[in-house]
Amino acid sequence: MPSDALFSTTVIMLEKLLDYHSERHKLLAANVANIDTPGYKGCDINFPDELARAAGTGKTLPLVKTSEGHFPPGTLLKDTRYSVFESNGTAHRLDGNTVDLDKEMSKLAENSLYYNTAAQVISKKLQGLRTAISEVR
Amino acid sequence: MDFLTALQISSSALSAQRLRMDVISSNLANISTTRSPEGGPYRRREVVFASQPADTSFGETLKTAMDNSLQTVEVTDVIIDSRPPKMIYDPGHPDANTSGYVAVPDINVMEEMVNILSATRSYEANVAVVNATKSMVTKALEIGR
Repeated sequence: MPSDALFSTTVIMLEKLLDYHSERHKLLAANVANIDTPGYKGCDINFPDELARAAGTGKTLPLVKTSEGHFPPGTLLKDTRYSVFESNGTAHRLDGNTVDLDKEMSKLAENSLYYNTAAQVISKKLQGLRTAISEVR
Repeated sequence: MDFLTALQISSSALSAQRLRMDVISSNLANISTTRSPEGGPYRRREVVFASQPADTSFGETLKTAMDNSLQTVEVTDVIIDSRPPKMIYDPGHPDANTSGYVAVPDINVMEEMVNILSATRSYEANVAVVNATKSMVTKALEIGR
C-alpha cells in the first residue's frame, strides 16, 4: 500500500474501486459468455458493503465505531472479498438460463464507464502530484 | 486484478459460438446429402454448450467463491439429431430404394437460419465485451501517464 504522505486515502479508495469494477467486469463477461449455456445462472457481486467497509480506514473518510461488535476500521482494506450472488433476472427461458442479455450489456457498459472514470480520477490525482513536484523547480 | 481472465472467458464464448456456426453451416450445406461416411443420409448435428470454471492465475488451491462463479463456456459435445430422414419420391435417384423413395436429411432451413441469427448475436455480444475489456485495460495503462 502506498504511504499516506504522498498518496491520500482517495487514491487507495479509487484503487479498491478499480479492483471492484474489474472483478465485476469478469463476472459480467462470464454471464455474457454463457448466454446460450442451458441451466446457467447469471451472477453479480455486491457493491455497497465492500467499499463502504473499506472506506473506514482513511483519515478523511472515517467510519464511526458505534458498537463493540464492529470490526475495527482498516482490517478489511487489504483483502476485500466480494460476495457473489445469483442475479435473478426476469428472463424466462425453457433451458433454465437466467441471463438477460439487455441487462447484462447495460450493466457491463455502466461498469466499464465507472472503471474508466476511476482510472481517470487516479490519473488526474497523480497529475496533480506531478505538477506540485515540478512547479517548485 | 487480471484482465486476461475476462478475455479468456469472452474468447471461449467466441470460439464456442463460431463452432456452433460451423455446425449450422454444415447442416445447411448438407441439406440434400444422401451419402455419409456412417452410411445413409447426412444426419443433422447440434452443439451442446456447458460452462466450465475459468482457470484463474491462482490455481486450484486458492479458488474462492468468486473464482468458482467465473465460468467459461465450452462445446462439450456435438450431438446427432435423432429425427428420422425425410422420404422423397424420386425413382431416378441413384440412392432411391426399391419403391422409388430417397432418404434425405430432415433439415428445416428456417430453424437453421434462426440458429444462425442467434449465434451471430451472441458472438456480437461477446465482441462488445472484449471491446469493453480493451477500453478498460487502455484506461488502466493511462494511469500516471
